[in-house]
Amino acid sequence: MIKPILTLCAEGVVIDRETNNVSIFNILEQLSSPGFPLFIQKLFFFHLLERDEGDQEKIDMELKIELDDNELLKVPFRNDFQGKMRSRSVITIGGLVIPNPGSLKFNLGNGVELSSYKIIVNRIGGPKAEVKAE
Amino acid sequence: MKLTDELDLNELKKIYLFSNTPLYLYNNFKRNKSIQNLSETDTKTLINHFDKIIIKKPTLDNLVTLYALIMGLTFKDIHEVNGFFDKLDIYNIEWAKEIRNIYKAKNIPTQIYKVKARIIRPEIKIISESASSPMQIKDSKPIISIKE
Repeated sequence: MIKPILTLCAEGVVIDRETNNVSIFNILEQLSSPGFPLFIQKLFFFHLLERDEGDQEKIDMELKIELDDNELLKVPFRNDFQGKMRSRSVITIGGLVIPNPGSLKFNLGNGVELSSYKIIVNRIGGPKAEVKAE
Repeated sequence: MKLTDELDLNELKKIYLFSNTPLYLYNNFKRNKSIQNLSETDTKTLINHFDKIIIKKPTLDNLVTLYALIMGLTFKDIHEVNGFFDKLDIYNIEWAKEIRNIYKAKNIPTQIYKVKARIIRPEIKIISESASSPMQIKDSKPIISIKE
């Protein structure tokens, strides 16, 4: 059975060529904006999966990004364990438009949901206009 | 110019002579800038060069160059070099097998995908005078409004 070990979104994911280690910085927990739609120029989705003996090595997967119940983006991809028990993927999303505040959910699955990561999108106080009747 | 001319052989020979374990050799060769530059060469050329040197006289220079080529190949995707590393046992290189094992143990398969932003084209829509706002935003697409 495929098990998710780690799933997250961040502003930066770097893989060191020498050590093959991953560095993740600025993990996204929540987003705040005074105005919507909000455009995120770049974000990284990272996940680490573990399989059991006997599980397939190559699995077709899908990353679905939803805001509340509205689908924003769907990314099909292949996860290849290459004979190992663990495999990781880094998906760079080069631009995402968030139309309104809500709960931004990154669902990772292969038919069934394996793991998900949620970012709260808030509207923060912008300039207010007050109209008073005479 | 030969492929391995850019190698910092003096430094690599020093590392080789000081190495008391395969891991020391692996880590220090991997950090070496000239090997990192060598790894930019395509896999096939590196393997062909290895095949040319392995049949030469086993001098210190040749041995260090062979290790450098093996280490250069550790920067490649495992799919490209699996065959090469699997047949390393047949050569008489002292730590080749250990280097192969370190490389395979350290290698966690990583898929990298890039998704480009969806291009949102402005939608031109004619709206009547009675519309309350000159700009309407629908489905996140900017709408350029033209009054009749």
